[in-house]
Amino acid sequence: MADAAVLDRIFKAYDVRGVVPDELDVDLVRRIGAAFVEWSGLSRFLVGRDARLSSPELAVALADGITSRGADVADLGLASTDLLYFASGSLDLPGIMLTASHNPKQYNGLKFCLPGAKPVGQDTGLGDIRAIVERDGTAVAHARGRAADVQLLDRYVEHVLGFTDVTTMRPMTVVADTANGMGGLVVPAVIERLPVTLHHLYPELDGTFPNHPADPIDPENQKDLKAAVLEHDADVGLAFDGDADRVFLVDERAGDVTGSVLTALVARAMLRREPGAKVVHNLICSWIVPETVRDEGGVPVRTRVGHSFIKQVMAETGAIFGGEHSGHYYFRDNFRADSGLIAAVVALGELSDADAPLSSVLAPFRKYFASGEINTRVDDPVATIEEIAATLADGRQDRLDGLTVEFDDWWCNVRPSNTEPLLRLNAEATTAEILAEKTALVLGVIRGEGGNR
Amino acid sequence: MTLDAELLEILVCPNDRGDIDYLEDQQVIVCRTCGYRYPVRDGIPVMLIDEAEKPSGGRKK
Repeated sequence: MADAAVLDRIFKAYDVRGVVPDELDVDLVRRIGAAFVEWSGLSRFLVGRDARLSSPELAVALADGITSRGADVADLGLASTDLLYFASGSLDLPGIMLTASHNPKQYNGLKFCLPGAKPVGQDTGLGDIRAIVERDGTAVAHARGRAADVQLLDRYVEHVLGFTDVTTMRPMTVVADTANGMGGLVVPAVIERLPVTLHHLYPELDGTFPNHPADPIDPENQKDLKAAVLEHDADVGLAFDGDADRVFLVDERAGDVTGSVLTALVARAMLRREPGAKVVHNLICSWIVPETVRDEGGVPVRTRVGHSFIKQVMAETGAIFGGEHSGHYYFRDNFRADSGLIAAVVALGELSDADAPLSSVLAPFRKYFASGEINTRVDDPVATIEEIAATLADGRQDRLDGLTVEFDDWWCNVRPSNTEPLLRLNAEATTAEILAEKTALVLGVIRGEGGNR
Repeated sequence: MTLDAELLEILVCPNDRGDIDYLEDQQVIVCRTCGYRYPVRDGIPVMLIDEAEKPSGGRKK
């Protein structure tokens, strides 16, 4: 059990995720809990869990592992990941969230943070925790810590509502699909405080995910939401993932709102509150993000892809907000943690102020054409990137993350996967024709058509 | 866990996660919904269902 090969598989860049019990079982969770105590040297830990069928049993094991090392546990019980981050930030305690996010029901996992909701990733602790798990057979029990149940949902709701002006909000109709995930706990608690008629799809917390997978990035999983938005003449639709940290919006015509477009909208709202502030975006966000930030008098800051980079750069620059095309939204005043719920509430505030349909509000942000992420298996990612650099030698190039090349009417980024021999291509252009032509050009190089591979 | 004010504000009953009151003079924590009473020993709340005094014939979870 817990041989190096299994640990290699389940310790990811930012969390632990594996199939229960084949890869992740009570014994391993207990040891991971004990290892987090040993690594951090701290004495009180928040824990929360999602509604997966394996979560209650694993939560007991997690608390057991933590208390076995003499540390205390404050147990949030059922929680969303953003609620755990809020608890960690507001109480200044480290935390562990037991969740496999949007993964299928047979999975579970753990997300870690240090006091103040500081991220713990591969290079900022997770690798060391893994080493402790691998080295230790069993946790040593001396003076055992205590466990107590705590509740922070009410405080979190107040905190989220603080990001908008509830008193001036106009009545609106909202459809939310929480996909039987943890959004069922936090989303209605917040939305019910707004002058909003809520149609809630799949609100029950059900770890079997009986309706559709809790992964809204897959368009298939947004079909019910889109149908309900049209059926109820709703102003907006909200889709949350399994642990409710990510959100995707659809407009009143059931049109997709990309992560970049929502980042631009939220950035505008935040900059109107704090003129001149910095906004962080990763380098695969649309041009519309830095453009909007500049138009609103703010300072755009570009980062590598990956949530630890966003949080780190936000800390270094004091940025008010950070957005990722993947649907993660980070707020300085939320301990720099991400919260889809806060992004949704800010967007509702913007929609209310505009007194126009969401599609009209977003029209100025929908001016570019994006390829989406195109993954291609290649033998030698490094060599392929150099071939692309040579092919696009007349563009403006930078190497912040893989290779980015910008022209006046299009740009692209190619970056290698950390774990597989894959190249990830993102391209964007001012017209659909240019996008098609240039995407084909770069893909031709990647696939070795007319070049050596 | 020491009985600091911060913890007391967020503590809930382990039986039904109900809100609790701290009766300082009796050194006891009482759940508002299920009525379970948890002892506080040397300033430490013992929030264990096994250690709780249950209301006789009272409501259960």
